[in-house]
Amino acid sequence: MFDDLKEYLRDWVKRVLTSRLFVLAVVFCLMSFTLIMRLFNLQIINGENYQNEYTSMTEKVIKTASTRGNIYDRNGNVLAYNELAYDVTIQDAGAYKTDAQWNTMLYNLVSILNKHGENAQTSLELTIDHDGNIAYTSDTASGRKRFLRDYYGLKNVDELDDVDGKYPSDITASQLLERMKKEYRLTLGDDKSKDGRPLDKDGNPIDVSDEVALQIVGIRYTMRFTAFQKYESTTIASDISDETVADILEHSADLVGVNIQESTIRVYNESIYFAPIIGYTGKVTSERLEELKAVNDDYELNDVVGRTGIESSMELELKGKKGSTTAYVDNVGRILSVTDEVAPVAGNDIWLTIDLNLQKGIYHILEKQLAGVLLKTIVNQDEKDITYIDSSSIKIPIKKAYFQLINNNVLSIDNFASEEASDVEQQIYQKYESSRARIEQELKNELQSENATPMNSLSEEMQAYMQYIYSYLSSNDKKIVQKDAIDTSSDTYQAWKNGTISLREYLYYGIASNWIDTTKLNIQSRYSNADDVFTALIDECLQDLEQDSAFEKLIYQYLINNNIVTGRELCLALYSQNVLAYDESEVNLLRVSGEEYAYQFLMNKIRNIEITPAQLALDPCTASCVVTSAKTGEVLALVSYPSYDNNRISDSTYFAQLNADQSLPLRNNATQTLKAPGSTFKPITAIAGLEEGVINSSELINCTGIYEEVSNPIRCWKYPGFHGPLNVIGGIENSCNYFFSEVAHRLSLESDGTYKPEKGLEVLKKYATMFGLDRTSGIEISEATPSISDTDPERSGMGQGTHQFASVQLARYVTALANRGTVYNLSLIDKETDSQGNLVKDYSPTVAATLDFNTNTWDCVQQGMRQVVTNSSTKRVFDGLDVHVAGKTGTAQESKKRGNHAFFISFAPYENPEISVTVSIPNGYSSSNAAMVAKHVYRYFYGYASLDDILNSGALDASNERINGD
Amino acid sequence: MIFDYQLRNYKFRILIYMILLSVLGILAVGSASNQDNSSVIKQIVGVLLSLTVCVVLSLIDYHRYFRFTTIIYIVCTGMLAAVLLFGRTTKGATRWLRIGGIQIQPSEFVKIGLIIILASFLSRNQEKISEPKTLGMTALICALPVGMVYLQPNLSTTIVICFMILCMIYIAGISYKWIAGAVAVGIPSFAVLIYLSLKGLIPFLQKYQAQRIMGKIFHSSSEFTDLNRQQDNSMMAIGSGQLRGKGLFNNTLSSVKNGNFLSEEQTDFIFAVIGEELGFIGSVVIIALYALLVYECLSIAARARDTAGRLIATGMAALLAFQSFANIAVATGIFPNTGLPLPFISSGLSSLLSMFIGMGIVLNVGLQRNNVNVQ
Repeated sequence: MFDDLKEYLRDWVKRVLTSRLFVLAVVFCLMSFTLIMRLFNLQIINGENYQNEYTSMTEKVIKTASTRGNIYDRNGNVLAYNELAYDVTIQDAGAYKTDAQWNTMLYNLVSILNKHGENAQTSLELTIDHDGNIAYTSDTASGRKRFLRDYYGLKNVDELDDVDGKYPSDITASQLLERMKKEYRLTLGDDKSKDGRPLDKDGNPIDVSDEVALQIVGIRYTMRFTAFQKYESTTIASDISDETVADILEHSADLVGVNIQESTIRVYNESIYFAPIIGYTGKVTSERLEELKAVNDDYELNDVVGRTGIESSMELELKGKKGSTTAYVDNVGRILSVTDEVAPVAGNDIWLTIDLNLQKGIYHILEKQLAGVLLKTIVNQDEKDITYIDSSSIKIPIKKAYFQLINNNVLSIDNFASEEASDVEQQIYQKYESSRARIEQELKNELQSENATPMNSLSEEMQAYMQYIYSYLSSNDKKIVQKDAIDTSSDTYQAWKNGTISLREYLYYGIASNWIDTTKLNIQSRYSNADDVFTALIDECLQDLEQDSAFEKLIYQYLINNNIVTGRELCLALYSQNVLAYDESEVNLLRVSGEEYAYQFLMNKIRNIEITPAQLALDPCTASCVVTSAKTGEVLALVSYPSYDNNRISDSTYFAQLNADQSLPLRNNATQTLKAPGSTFKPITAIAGLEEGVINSSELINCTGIYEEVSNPIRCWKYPGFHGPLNVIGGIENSCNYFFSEVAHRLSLESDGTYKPEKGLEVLKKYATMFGLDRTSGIEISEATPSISDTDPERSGMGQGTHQFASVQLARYVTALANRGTVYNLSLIDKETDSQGNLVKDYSPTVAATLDFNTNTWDCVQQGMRQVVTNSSTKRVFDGLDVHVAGKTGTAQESKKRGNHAFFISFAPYENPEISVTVSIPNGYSSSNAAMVAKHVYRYFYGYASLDDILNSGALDASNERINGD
Repeated sequence: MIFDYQLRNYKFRILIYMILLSVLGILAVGSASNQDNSSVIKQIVGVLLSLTVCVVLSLIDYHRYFRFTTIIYIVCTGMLAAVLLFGRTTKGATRWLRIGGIQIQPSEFVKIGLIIILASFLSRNQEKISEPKTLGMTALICALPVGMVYLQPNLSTTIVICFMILCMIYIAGISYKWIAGAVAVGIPSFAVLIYLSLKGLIPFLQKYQAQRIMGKIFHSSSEFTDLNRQQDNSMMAIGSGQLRGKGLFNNTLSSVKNGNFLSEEQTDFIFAVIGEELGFIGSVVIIALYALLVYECLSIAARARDTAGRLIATGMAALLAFQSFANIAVATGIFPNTGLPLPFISSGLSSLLSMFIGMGIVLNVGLQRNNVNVQ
């Protein structure tokens, strides 16, 4: 029986093992086992990770912006604050399912916006131009490609123009709009059941205009970016009017998901005076974002941050702390539940050391002083009739001023051609048109002629056009002429330089010597001959010039110079274009008068600051002034002329206009403009001489009029006269070049009497460094780095050489002269308070160095500077001022053709210095102009003149006379 | 004739397993649809209807179907042809027919039809099974319906059907020579083909085409991001269920299902809901139930009265095993994403009814077991 069982079992095992069903069973078991293993891995081993991954995927922290801190002046006047604004936002709340529902709602919304003159602002880079055509708004071709990439939902622009033609990049703007209208079913397509057109109140479909369609598809397109972040709302209109707000709220039942969101816009008071200091805010750049994130992880893409000035340097203090909402969201980002909310904390307020009224007054003083200089400089003469004397007394022909009206975009030449142009504008434009036709014909004739006239034999005007064409071809944008490849030793090049060949000849030479880049030309055949290349070159160039506004301006320049377009016409155009407020009697007078009156007229407008020095952008058009407290190192005023309105900086047209402005309003002339200081450096040389013991205070140096110890003799300004013996006080008072050359020379002598210029330079550098002139001044906004002269000790000692300082750096130096040796790190910031006004941090200027010089040294220098004001030729400027000022003028020549730079550094009262005033007028001709500004600043600061006095005065008196000794 | 059967041979266990799976299915569908009554009621009605059909069929002698194999074949291919011609297209595939108000998926029924047809054909030709002629005929019979399923396109069902056919041919007793030959030739040549095509060494196949084909199979190219995300989210749901799951009908915020991240969660991805809400324990229970069902089918096959019965039971075992395996393998990311219903659980009448029909026939095979073996 046991054997039976064994037999049976063996049989069974054998049968099972050989059974094919058993094999299948094993396979199925393995499959189950695989699944269980997999589940074990997913759920037991990695289960927690998956749960965490899910939580982090669905937990969203939504940041809410904090209020940016205000900026005040030292007396609590608000300079920058935030104004409440209303934005329209839209969020997919799930209320609308079909295209028709969406389109109906958006149609209603867009209608409300348009009714109040607002437009939906979307990411759709399409617009309707003034001719009523659909056009792209993308800045560049690559910008458009990026936009199309986003539109097609591609990852990369390379995927555009695929083989199947699904993603064409050459789709026209109107084709794209049609495509989007179909996509969002704004038009009735082939499938009638899918009509998505908006419905009116009675349920009838509306065929929308392109203008409305553009906004509807634009909103829907923009919402696509948040399709999976439905907790985020999309802003479609900002800073809307109260009426629009009311209208939208009234219709909120039909506008589910549309919200009015409060936001703020930054507002700057007295913007023009403070823009160079405060700067402006804007969307954060990617580099800046990286920097800011490193110190504060609160920052995100799309944040608005300070871009320049105090707004930028005090960004972290002003910003505040963002609030946050923590929520769980579903797969499309709809909020399921809010778990945590943190309110934002407002940013801290910043108080500047600047005094609003002082800043404002000085800005106008500078402007009026510049106007005064221009009045003395612009003459009713032709350029050829003006004789050049020197760079202190250059005269500008009035025609140059007229031309500047066009050249610096005071008058818009586009408006001359517009349909609304006034009679006088049309008149100007007709003259331009006919001249242009003539000029183009002449250019063509000249360029196509086998025996073209050499440059020298052309009229000056034609030469200018030819030169323009050549520089256009070799410009960086074009690079058709490859300047680097030109053989400058060749005869042809020399002939071109000397003007003995024509442009045509020269370009033919270029084609032959391969410095003309033919690949950039529209040439049919690869084997073109030189004639073909030349023709293509000229055709392309002339075609481009039709759109070239610089060439257009060049033509206007000659039209004005040749009396074809007259000053009278341009002055009248000022009224047509509302540059000047309309004044009937003035207009009538201009109409009936001649050129002499036009000159008087323009000078009058300059005198009344109706046409500003900045608008004309002639020399001088810029100036700066820094006022510090001599006792504390606080900056009381830091003025740069010209300035801009930082409230308008986000307006791209305005920004472009500022960038094109030749007076460079975006540059801070007090901190960014570096110039040689001229004689304002002499006190440092005097101190170095006294402290190093190469002179003593009673020692006399005999000025002979010309200093001949150096290979290139230095003339004193009095040459061929001479000062005779002078001590150091007299040296400063008279700004004697001989005296300071001798001091600097002595500083360069070794103990054994050998002359070593490096030594003198080293000593001058040491003393300049003591006064902080080797580095930036410490103020909290960006500033150019100065440099101390490293060549020619004698000339360096007189403030020439390679010195380069900004006004604010000179201000730190003169502050130390005033307070006898305390060199401050200047500061623009008084204190930081929280939004409740509690003090967070008190800023006061730190002391960079205390200069421990002999009392006698300070006495000599200060007395010398006092005598500059009381005894020297500068005396005239300060006549009648009761404040005892000590100062030093300076003039630096950069170019013989343009006016000298004018400087004045000073402090007052002499007996117990309270403030320092530093003035710089680049190309301001004479340092007396800078001294004049300082005098007005003191008068104003010490109450001898009120702000109204300054505002109501016309251009300030200027003297382009030479100030002795600079 | 019903009473000819010995009721003690009736495999009530199979009924119990199927009912358990169906009940779990109803619960899962209820949870997946956020307790949408109509979905749940539809599923309950479907289960009751299918169960009734199953019990009725279990009492009908399976040999009777063999007389109608031609008709069954014509009906199967006819339905598939109708799908291709007038079918409803969703998401790029045409798989459904609307008859009256009901939407059916013919390929589900074709599986059962093919089991009967093949069982009949292979059992009649059992002695000549390894002859090329017989194999050729088998291939010919299968080619038309399988081809039409493939064209819908429905690659996953095609693979399931092929697996089922191969299992039946194997059990029908095909010579191991054939199997060895197929393995010896097939696997290396397939490997070489893939290798060469990816290296760009096949003249008529460009490298990028090969990559595109591989990308299609393994969903690695960017056009499958949605499919991949579906699968990733499913894995996240299953994984986050951990040991015990988050519970059926839960309303926790930590649920992937509640966050709406699952798609097809009542049908092809219902296992994601099961994995998340019932956890590892629940998942293993479900896999165990499938394993038991498959075991019962195989045991019926082992004791079937004749080859035809054995083949039917084998076919159903293979179908059940492979389809449930493939579905869960997709949900857990073992297989690339492809749509297959989970037998007895996924909502959808066609799948439910066809599985119950198949099991009904298998039950009848079990009822007519070969008593000789038992003694």
